[in-house]
Order: sequence, then structure tokens, then C-alpha cells
Amino acid sequence: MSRYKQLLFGGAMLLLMLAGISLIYGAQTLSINTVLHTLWQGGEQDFIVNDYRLPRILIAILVGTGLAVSGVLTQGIIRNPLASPDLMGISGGAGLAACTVLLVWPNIGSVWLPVVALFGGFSAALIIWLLSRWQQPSPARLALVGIAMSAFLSSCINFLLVIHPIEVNSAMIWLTGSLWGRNWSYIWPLLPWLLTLVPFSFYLAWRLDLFALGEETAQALGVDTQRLQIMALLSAVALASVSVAVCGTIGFVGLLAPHLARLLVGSRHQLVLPIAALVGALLVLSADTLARNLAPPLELPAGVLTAILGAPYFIFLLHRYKGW
Amino acid sequence: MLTIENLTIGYAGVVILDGLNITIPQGKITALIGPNGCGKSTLLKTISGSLKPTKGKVSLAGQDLSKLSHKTKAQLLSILPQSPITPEGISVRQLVSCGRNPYLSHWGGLSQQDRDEVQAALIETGLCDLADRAVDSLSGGQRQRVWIAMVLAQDTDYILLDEPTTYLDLTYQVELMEMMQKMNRRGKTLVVVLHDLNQACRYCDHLIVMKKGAIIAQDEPHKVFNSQLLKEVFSLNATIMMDPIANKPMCIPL
Repeated sequence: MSRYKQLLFGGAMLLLMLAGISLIYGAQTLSINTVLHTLWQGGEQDFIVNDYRLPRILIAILVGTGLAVSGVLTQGIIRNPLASPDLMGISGGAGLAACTVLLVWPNIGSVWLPVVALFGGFSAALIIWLLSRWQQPSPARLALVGIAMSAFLSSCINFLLVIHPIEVNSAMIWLTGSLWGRNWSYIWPLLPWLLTLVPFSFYLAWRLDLFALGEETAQALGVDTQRLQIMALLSAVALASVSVAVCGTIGFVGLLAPHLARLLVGSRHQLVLPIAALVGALLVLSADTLARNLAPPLELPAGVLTAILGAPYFIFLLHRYKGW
Repeated sequence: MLTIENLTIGYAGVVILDGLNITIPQGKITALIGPNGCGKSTLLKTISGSLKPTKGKVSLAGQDLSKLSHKTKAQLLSILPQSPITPEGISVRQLVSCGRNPYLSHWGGLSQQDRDEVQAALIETGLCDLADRAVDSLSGGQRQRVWIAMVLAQDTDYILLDEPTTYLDLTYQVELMEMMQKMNRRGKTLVVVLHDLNQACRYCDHLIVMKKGAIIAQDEPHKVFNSQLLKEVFSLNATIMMDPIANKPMCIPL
């Protein structure tokens, strides 16, 4: 087996193990036998295992994949190691839109929330695009613009929360990125987006490899770079937005997963994408499992845990980055 | 035949190329020379289509290049930009394989013919032993050979090179020039931006001399290369002698 296949296999096994742990541990710890039995035949733990923990695990995997693939596309197309949907304010835009709608219209339902988040994500992306057209930004400057955007958007969200004190609690939990209370009804609206956009990003993968040689070289090799940039960015924004719609802003996954994947398998997008997706799924699932088990029955938001890992790494990247 | 008619281009109100008419002779090596900032690179980028002209057109065998699809154009004409980016860790063979892109289907994947072409390009440039090495671990001269191999794998009749010898040691510069001549003997038409005037005269069949976005002269080296031209274009006082080895004109600054 090649090293790459070993990595894929190892990652998948790790994910499966983690899923098992996540099914077993929680506010109420179950035995392995109970879990296996309940998975096949239901029974008295049916609610905890099949309606509570299982959908949550699947959502963690889907969202982790979505954020990671979105990060790979963003970094590939902006050729900026600091780029990722959350640092560029795209997640913030999606979060603000979703939060506004949640506060004004709490019963919107899980089907429409992704659509609202998409609208917010695309608006934020549009603003960043306009800003970068107005002034050709260096990678570092683009990251700064994104961070400023994120800060602005989160202050908007805070403002909303302050003027709607009653709904604050649930919105707050959602905003820091939590999978609390996510059941099957959240999976179905998420699935079609991922099932179309993830394969599509594989379709873009080798074009992104050519894009990595520089825009001019890619054009010389027959790539319509403008179309590629638009398609990849639209997919990245959509993936990040629908993920935010389900779990709020789980930060740094879109930054960390692609970096880790490139460290493991090099720069070819076809190889990076599956590994990054695995890493993203592992990150979100382990963050959520920890979040549920650190102080049961209380739950920490998973986003807090990914930030504990992600923020130092971001600082490390800033430190290593020489292109100021 | 590559022809350029009434080509005008400018950014933000500043005209960079002004109504150029150029014919690139087929099956020859053409050198673009002129002082820094005279528009050589801009001209090359406009020919390749990465810059859009404000006026005028570039046509290949009577066909307007801007009307062709990106892929079709990339099967006819290739360009090696001045500073392409080498992705971290990419191997020589992978990079050279990128040259096959214009021939691939939607989902990519190299056919046997593509692999053969890549192998041929590696042999041609003497890179077989390095095929599995990472490009970023090679020396500057070897790296430039890898990019040339990528262009060879693209297998186009027209090849544009933007200052391919910059930053190379003299040995590698000569090696590159000889590689260009080899490509030319296989029927390729080359257009290169060069800084070294004596190299341009020695290795190229046709000179296009530019100054401030205009063409000052275009013809064979021995017809256009004289001290008057050097004075006019480069503000350089020089004498012209015949190179005793290649019997081409060369300049010696006074």
C-alpha cells in the first residue's frame, strides 16, 4: 500500500474510532455492546444513540469536511497561506445573516437557514472582493482586511444580541460554534450542498494545481483562470456558509485542515483534498466530543476548542510568513 | 505566420504600446530587444492573450487569436512567463506533465501519448535523471530547464519566452540558447525577450527593436544592428564588429 493510501486508511480508521468514542461517552456513558445493539436494533437507548449522538457525529463529519474543502479552495485560489473562510469574514457574514434571521424569525427551520447563511457569506465575499479590486492586496493585507471584516461582523452580531436579550442564549451558543441539539433534520439540508460541491472541488483540483504555477502560466497552459477563480470561490463560500448555517462559526478548521494536509501529502490538490477533508472531520468531531465530555452535562461550544488549537497556529503562520 | 496589426494597449490612461505592426517570421528565432520598460514583456503578454489590447489584433495563420478558446490557443502557442511560481515539493515530472494540460479531457488524467510526450521532453532537456526530484531542490539553471521542458511538452508551433536567461550563469545562458536553436531546428517558431544584445545577434535570426512602446526596427541582425541604432535606442556609444566565431554582428561599448 502506498504511503498515501496508508494515510487515507489510517485517517478513516481514526475517524471511525473517534465516532465510536463519541457514541459511547457523554453525559451518560454507555457500554460498547449497548451502542452496537442500539445501532442495529434500537431499544431503550435509541434516543441517545440514534437520535442524539449519531446525527451529531455525522454533522460534525460533514461540517468538518465542508470547512476543510472550503479552506483548500480558498487558499488555492488566493494563493495565500493565511486565507480561510473564517479569517476572511465569510463565516462571519454567513453568521450575521443567519443570526439576524434567527432573532427576528426564530422558527425559520433548518432548510432555510443555509440559504440565509449563503446570502450572508456571499455578501461578505463580495465586499472583500471589491476591497481587493480597489487595492491589490498582499497576502498579509488581505488577511488583515479579512480580520477587520470578521471583527466588524461580530460586533454587528453582538449589537443584535444586546438589543434582543431574550433570545441571546440560544443564538450565543450557536454563534460560538456548537453542535448542541443538532438532529437528523439538520443533516438533510446540508447533504445536497456537500454532495454537489465536494465532487465539484475535485473537478477543479488539477486546474488549481496549474493555477499554483502562477496566473500567467496557468493561462498559457489553456486554463480560463478567471472562470476557475470564480467557480472555486463560489464553491468555497457556499461550503463555508452552509456549514456555518448548521453549526455556527467553528473557527480555524478551514485554516488548519488544509495546512496539515499539505504538510502530510505535498501541494497537489487531488491529494490534498481528501486528506484535508479527513483532517477537518477529525478536528470538528474531536472538538465536539471533547466539548460534550469535559464538564458533563454542561456543554462547551466546539468552536472554543478549535480556537484553542487554531489561534496559536495562526500566530505561528504569521510569524513564519515573510512576505509583509 | 504570427502577425500583429495596429496593436495598442495601455493601463489607466497611459499608452504602453502604440499601434504596433509586427510580422513574426515562421520557423525562425525572433528576439525582442529594447531598454527596460520599453514594452517588451507587455507585447509578449498581449500576444499570448493574458493582456487584452485596447485596439488591434494578433492573428495566427490569419485567425484572430482572441476568438479562439483558451485550450485551442494553448495548443498553438505557449509562453513561459518571466517568473513562474514553483509550488513547494512538486516533482520535475509532475511539473513537465502540466504542459500536457491543453490536450487533456475535462477530468484530467494523462494518456499514454501524453506520458510519451513528457518523457520525450525530459530526454530533450536532459532531465531524465532528475525526473523524480523536487523542482525547488534544483539549481537555477536546472529549474529553468524544467520550465523549458514543460513548454516542450505543450508541443506548440509557437513558443514565447520572457527573459529566459535572467538570473542564470553564463554557462546556463549558453545552454539555454542552444536549446532554443535545437527547438527551432525541429520547426518551432520562437519569440524571446533578451537583455544581452550580443546573444540576441548570435543566436536569433530576427530582431525586433523597441523603444517606448514603438518598434524602431525589425529585420535580420546584420541589417539592423549598428552603432546608430544602439545610440538611438539605448543611448549607448558602441562600435560594431563581426563575431569571429559565429560571424554575426556584436557590439563593444566605447
